[in-house]
Amino acid sequence: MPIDKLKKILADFDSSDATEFEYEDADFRVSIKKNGPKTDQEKTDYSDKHILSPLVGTYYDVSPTIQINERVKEGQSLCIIESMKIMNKICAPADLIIRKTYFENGESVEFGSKLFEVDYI
Amino acid sequence: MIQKVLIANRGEIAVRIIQTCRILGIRTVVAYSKCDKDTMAVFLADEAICIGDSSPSDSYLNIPAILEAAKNTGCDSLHPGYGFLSENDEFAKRAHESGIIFIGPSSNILEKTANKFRMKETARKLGIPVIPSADEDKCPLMIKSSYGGGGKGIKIVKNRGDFDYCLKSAKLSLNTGFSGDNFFLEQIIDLYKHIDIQFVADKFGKISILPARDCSVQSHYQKVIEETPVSNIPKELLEKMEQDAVKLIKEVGFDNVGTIEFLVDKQMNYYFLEINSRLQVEHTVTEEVTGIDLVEQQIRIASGQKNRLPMKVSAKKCAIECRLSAKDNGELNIFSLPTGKDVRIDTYIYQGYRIKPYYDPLIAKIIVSDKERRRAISKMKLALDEIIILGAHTNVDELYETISREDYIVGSYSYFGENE
Repeated sequence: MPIDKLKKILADFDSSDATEFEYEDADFRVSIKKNGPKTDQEKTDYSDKHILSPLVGTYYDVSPTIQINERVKEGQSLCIIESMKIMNKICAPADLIIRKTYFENGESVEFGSKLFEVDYI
Repeated sequence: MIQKVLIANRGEIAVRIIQTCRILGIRTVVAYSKCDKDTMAVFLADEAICIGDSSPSDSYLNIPAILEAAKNTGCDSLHPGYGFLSENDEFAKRAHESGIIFIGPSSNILEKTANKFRMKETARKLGIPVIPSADEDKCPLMIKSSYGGGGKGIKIVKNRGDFDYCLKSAKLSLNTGFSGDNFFLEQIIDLYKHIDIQFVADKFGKISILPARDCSVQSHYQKVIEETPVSNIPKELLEKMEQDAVKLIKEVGFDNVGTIEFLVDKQMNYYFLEINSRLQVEHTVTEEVTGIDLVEQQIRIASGQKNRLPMKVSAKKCAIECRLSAKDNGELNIFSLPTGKDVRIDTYIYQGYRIKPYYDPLIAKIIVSDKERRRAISKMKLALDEIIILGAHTNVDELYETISREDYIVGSYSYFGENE
């Protein structure tokens, strides 16, 4: 298959809603997969003013602890979720102000739990 | 004895496990995916914990998330149900390493039984009949995968010219890599019946054989209707299969509840197929005819208790199971299932529930029993007739047609999908 044709397929696949694509001819086979329908997880939904936990684990404060009404820059650490002894940093998806915190140090967190209520700046 | 179980599964089997735990006074935690918050298991369990997004790879197949949830909720054990990670040796091993009892066989046994080709060789060395190997010049033949399941990795080759294409498509149907050495070739047999030998074995080598099941009504390699005890197969043949099952269980050192599957051809030869190292969907019919709770047996044995069942358990009656499946994903505005004497329903669905597109379409198992097989069939017809479901299409009509067939009633019917 010419590389241009493959590029075109990849681009079309990427912009489509399809999650899987397979093509086969006499001497060529391609199989592409997207990581399932989880675009809502990965893209920040600015209308929902909550930061949600991306995994199940134990909540830990960062140091210094995030305060209510604190201004936070995009990429700044908000807390840590420990899961199977791995420390996962949860970072601000954009510049924002913390309005409410939901967990304290050492508490259990589920997938999708609200961690912070925020206002995006 | 186990005190608190994490259930790493969903649907009717999660409900089924909770029911036994409640009888035994064991606390339960359901690990569920984002879209399963409204399932019956989540309502019934003592606790529920969301472990990930709706797609199975993010939740029910997500080993770290499940183990973290078990640890986080203080569970001492986990039940994997069927499907998903139920026969995954890596999962069992990591659970054990995290100090959590895996309710199923040990990880080294799961590793052995998972490889179908290796198990076939083990059986052959013990003198147990297996389906003869084929070579690619003698078609028709069947391509099978060592690690396939649910029909994946299986292809029938009718003509030599189709071989390469069929091998490719068998590989494509597997999610696991593309290495060619995982495939083996078998001759086509004149398939008549698919027989399951259910057993209970403990960590001390005591083995009990329970009544065999006839699972010869299938569709796309998935069982649809199952019954026990087996009719229409000579008693001596069944006894031989049971003896071979015991040999194999001993050889493997199997230490929990499992099933050995055999195929029988029209000339009444039988062949070992594979070992299922988990609770099976159709365990219900065995429970109905013996009065034994197989989930309880799994839990007791995993807790280290001895198998107290007799070496051979006989059937007190006949039981039939029909698997009711949805064909689309609607909201069930009306959902009414049969009730009454000798009718058992295993389900996780209630009126108003919306069927999720991510998982298996099974919505309920309809099980009936009676002293006489023909009366059980009549009861099943009445039970299927009582099903009223609005909002999604189901396979209820096909089930009814099948059990009404003259050859089903006499016990000679079998169907294995259009490929056979």
